[in-house]
Amino acid sequence: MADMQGPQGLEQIYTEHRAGLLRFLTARTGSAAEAEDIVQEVWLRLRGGGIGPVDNGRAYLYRIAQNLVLDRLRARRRREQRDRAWTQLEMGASDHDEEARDTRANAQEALEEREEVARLTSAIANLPEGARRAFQLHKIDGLSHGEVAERLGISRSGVEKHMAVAMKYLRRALTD
Amino acid sequence: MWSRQGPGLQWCRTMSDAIFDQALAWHHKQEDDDFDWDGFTVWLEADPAHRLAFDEVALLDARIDDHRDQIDAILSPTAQAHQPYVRPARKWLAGGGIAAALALAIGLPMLSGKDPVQDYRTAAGQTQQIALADGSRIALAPFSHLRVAGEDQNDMQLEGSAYFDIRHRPERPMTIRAGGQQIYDIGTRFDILQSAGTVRVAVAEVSCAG
Repeated sequence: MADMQGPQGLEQIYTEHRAGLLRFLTARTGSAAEAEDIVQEVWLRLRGGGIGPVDNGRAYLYRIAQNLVLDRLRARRRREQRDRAWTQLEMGASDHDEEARDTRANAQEALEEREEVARLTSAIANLPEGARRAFQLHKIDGLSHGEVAERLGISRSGVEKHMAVAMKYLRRALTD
Repeated sequence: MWSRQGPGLQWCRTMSDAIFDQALAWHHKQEDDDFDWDGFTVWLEADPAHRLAFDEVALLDARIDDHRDQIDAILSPTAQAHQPYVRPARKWLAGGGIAAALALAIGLPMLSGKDPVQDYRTAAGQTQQIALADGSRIALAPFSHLRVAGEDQNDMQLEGSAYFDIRHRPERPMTIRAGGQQIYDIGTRFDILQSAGTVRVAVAEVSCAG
């Protein structure tokens, strides 16, 4: 079955699922135009990659698309951070030297990064025991949900509950 | 006035918390290979607030991933030094009863030479854990060979099979060549399995039974 899908198989899957993918991306991004862009990108990846047979072609397509959405989100967030750093520098800008300001914007960003790490780390350290262990195993050590469940001797839905607690904690730590 | 504003605010908070919870649940399930993409689409379509909540979860998750190594170093500096973490045997070891010889290898980018290359080889019955400088981790299956090249360690060549837990860096995507195919970094966790001239890529986590 899955082994029979060549690169052609993927093209077929793409053709078959293009409309659904577009609908998903429109819902995911809130913009039909952006969805179109990303579908094109997915297509280019498939063409350029010459990817071999894939177990679950449809999931593969959606996952590529989902990653592209995340890339865009992150790029947008970075731009916003950058703009913020620049604006802050502009306030007390005595130097009109772009390069100097750029360097200082970098320093500012590095500072923000360090603060973010500190906030995350202390939030993790203060998590309830079960949530902390599940979080550590999954997000830091890279174990899958199933492996975390096995390691902690709990169910997969138990892992999900712990992770939800952890994520909510961390969200609060970053927004407070 | 106060009595009307108070509960109103409270209600808003509860609503958005409920949506955030739903977003977390969708995000969590996304690791599964049989993730319900249609259900997810319908949920997103139901309310624009769903999309924004999911964005928030995805970005939070990405920020954690970005800082994984730093967090790890701060949280467990001694554990790191004394007992290097070894991934549990993955599925190619699960049923075979092979006495796995585990080795931990740390790949560091070489400062000299413009094209650093690292080779990792496993013999039959042996697996190898490979940690790249960016925090990506690879579990090399028995009887496999992985060559890691490029200044950013993002150019790989694989003979045999491996499980990849790759740090997603959009600016330096990973390329893996295997059996005449090129596989681009498709995000996070996936397997590449080669046997008898076929290459299979299994996206997302492998559900190991038992």
